[in-house]
Amino acid sequence: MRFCQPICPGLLLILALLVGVEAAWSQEQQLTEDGRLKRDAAYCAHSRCIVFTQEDHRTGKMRLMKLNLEDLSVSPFEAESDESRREFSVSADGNVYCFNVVRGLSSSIRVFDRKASQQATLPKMDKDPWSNWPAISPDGKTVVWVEGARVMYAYNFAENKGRESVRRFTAPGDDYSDYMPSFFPSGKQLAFASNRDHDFEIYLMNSDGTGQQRLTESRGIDMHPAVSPDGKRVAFTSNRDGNYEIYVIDLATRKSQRVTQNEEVDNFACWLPTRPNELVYVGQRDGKTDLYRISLGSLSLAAE
Amino acid sequence: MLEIGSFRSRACQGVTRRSFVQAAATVPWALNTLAGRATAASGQRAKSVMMIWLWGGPSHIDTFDPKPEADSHVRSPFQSIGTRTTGEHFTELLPRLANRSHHLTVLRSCRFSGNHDMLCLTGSRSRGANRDPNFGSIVAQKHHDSSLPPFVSIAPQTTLSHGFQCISSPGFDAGRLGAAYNPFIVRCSSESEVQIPSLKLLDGLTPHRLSDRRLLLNQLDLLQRHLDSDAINALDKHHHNAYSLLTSSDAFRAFDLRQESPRTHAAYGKTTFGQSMLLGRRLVEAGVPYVQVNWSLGVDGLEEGPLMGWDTHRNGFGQLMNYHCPVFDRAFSALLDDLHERGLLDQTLVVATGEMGRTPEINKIGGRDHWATCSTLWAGGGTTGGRVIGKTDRNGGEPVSSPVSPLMVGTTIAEAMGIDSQARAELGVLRGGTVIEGML
Repeated sequence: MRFCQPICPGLLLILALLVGVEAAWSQEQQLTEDGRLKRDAAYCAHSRCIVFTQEDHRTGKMRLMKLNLEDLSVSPFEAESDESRREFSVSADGNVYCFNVVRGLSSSIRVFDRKASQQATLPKMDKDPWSNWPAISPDGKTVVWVEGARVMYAYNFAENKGRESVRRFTAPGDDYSDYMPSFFPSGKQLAFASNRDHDFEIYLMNSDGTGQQRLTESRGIDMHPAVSPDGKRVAFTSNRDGNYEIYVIDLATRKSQRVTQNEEVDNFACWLPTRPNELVYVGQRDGKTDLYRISLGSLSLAAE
Repeated sequence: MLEIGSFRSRACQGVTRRSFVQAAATVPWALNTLAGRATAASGQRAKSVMMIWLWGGPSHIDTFDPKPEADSHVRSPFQSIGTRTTGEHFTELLPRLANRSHHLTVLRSCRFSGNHDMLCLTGSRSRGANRDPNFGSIVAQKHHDSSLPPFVSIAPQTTLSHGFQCISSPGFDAGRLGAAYNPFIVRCSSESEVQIPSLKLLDGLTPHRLSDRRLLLNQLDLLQRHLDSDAINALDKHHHNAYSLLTSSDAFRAFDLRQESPRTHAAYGKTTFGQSMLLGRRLVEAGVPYVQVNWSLGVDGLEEGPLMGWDTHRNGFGQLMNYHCPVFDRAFSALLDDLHERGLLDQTLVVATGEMGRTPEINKIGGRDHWATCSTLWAGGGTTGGRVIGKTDRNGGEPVSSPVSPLMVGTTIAEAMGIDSQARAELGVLRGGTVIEGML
């Protein structure tokens, strides 16, 4: 009988390995189910939720939504608006937050302080009406953003005096762009993406704009850095293996490891301060875009 | 979901003749019978055309004509990757299409206008009432034998708050050929919802009631009784054609994306463009001769989703790598696979183009500006895949081989559809146009 033949040990080993691999990837948990276009995940301590951007299929606008991590319910972060809102960033306590607003042919950054009931629309510093990629410091006092996809500025929100409260953060490059700043939990450093060395890599700098240094070096795109709650690792998106996946790099050893593996896009990782070994990210599966969570328990980032 | 809404135009005695005429006029192919039916010319290589309209002008250097040896202020930040075609490279933003290059002819020597005009949809700069028709209207004039509209334009369901829209601008319509050959506009969403605005004719005509054909026919009979007999006689043929879509379950089913398997939906991706491409495939499969799939409603590359065109002056690289290219790469690859697996690729000419390319020089705001030189993609329908036609200079600024004009694009499409030089002359369209050398 064919079915009674003993299975060779080699086949058993292969099966065991396959089961092991399957177990590793099964750590991924799907958090949303609607499959709509999403981006920009960020953890908000105030409401203990993930705030993300999602396409409103009725209007085509991008809306801020929030995912309750306890019951996985999804609801609008704020009242419906006739403008697109995205790129949410929030302070460590969740009380100060900011986002990018697209209205007509211009884009700006808005900042809100829940406790002080204070808000600001950041001033335009260049001729170009395009501002994006805001990042708020953990203490909620400073907002760094990119103007004209070229120059980073910092706004002293604690002071909040319009252009008087702005300082230039990075020098304009002739033919490169700095993108996607992300504060360290200490507030003393930032990670960001730039193509200043030609392709997109992750860089670090001090919170006064000095000490800029390259963190990643790979063929292809490295983008969307997110610094871990302990400040020791940076999660980012890279296509170094052919398509967009989430990677984590250890800042001490500079060793990186892929944490997602899928034929479709994984992007926009964020850390969960309450679960410092877990990442939430935007993943595409079967053509649908949802939020996923993965545990990093098995990462091996120690120096060799 | 397929949505047929309502259209109120009632007098005290019921539906007026005027309202019926208005309704018929919004269903362009309903009037085609006046012009008589044309037979397909010999030499027809394709049964259908899918025009993928990437309004805004994609950067050729950051997609299908990478220049890794270009000057630093020109070179794309995106790496070039090999394709299945020996010696041909795309940028890393298009890995799926790189793996399907054997289906594609990449035309790199296009020289269009460098502006947001409709040259590449009409072949000329003519304006006013006598303006030249969209290529789709030319095809529609020669191929309107089916119960389905001969020229369908698929657009996002959403509306723009600013700028012009692809469904109402000159160049998207039939121009001097007359309203009978205007595109039949269908709106599609990422949720696979399909709206047919032109058929919003009768109160209470819901998708559920449409499924009951007897009820529908009763309603149409009722409509007829409210019109006087002369009107009925005059409009009989128009009436027949206008409602053939509603009363032909086969024709109507072509617009219903629910008929597709979850696997097929997934392949195209849950985006407005992805589902629009899937709808386009259904329509050519059902026999629609010309389908234009509009990436966006407008040109501006400002915000993700169906409002975002390819006009990526600002933050262009961020947009290309986070939105445009992943969405396009997936949906266009799925279309090629789908057409190929169904045996439709050989008979469907697929053309993907914008109205221009983008400057070799990277601007100061993280993008590229308007530029006439660009690349277009061609597949199926009488073309041979796995090829590159034409070449640009080291910086991607100018073609170094014979430049291809929008008029040549239109002429090649017409020729593939069997509309030869004599037929074009009779119609007075695409005058002086020549077929792109080596394309067919």
